Amino acid sequence: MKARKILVTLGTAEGVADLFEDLAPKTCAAILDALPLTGTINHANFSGEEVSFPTRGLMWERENQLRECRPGDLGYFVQGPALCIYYGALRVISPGNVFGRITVNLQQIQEVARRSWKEPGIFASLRVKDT
Amino acid sequence: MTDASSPLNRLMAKIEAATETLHAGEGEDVKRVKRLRGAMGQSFTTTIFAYQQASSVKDGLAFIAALTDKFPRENWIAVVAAEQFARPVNTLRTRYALHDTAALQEEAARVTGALDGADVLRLTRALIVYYAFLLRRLRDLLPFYELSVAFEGHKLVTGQAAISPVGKGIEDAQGQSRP
Repeated sequence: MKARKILVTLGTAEGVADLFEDLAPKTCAAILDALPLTGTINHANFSGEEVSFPTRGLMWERENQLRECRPGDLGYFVQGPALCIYYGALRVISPGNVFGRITVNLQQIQEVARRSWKEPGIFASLRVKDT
Repeated sequence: MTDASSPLNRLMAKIEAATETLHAGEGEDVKRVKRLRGAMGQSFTTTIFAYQQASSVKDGLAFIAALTDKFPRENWIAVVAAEQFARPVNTLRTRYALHDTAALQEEAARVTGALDGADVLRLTRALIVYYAFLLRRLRDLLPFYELSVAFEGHKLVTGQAAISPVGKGIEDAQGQSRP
């Protein structure tokens, strides 16, 4: 099955993410059901190159929680609840439900995410990508 | 069918509205925290302590949610939850001017006694989400980047001056370091 995709916007950067519907089916379903998700990002203080914004309680179950993430991975942090973008080097302390990965325009997303350490409050959104 | 007029559902609607307010903007509580001043007219400590207090309350809610998830049929859950909801009310209100948040906690403590485990969990999770948004707004008041730069600079200055309450590292008149 071809992976469904969503649009990830961070400030002026727009990327495309593949959903991991095989690895995290419940999380993907909850995310798809809740789109669009919007917020303003803050940079992580402990875990490394990660930004996040709070969300409603989309689900409470833990699924596909990984301590080793790859740049561009998307997570739903159940304990927040929050939407996380793991954009680079990480030392994951509290893992989230990893449900997708940015595969298009990751470099632009990374530049904006890195800047948010100095400039918090950058707008972010996840939206349905029209096929 | 859900009874929208029940005390729990009225409270859930209030929490949802308050969460939406925080999603859209600061809300009155955060505006009040911005106006708070401490003993010496400072606002940094009042702001960061308000953030820390809200974070502690959220941790307590997470504990109640975990407990309720494990023991959904136990009657004592409602008693414990009500106590946990009530505990921070006075501090939130009088120390940090988080009046709206305190009112939600107070009402949660009031209605919880009559709830079963599933409803305690529903209410607790709604409050957790509310605090996620409140904490984000409070955190936005704190310039972590600038604070980090200032703090590292402060450590350099104090390190060179070798200042500490017990004089450790201060050289005496002969240039000998005291233990």
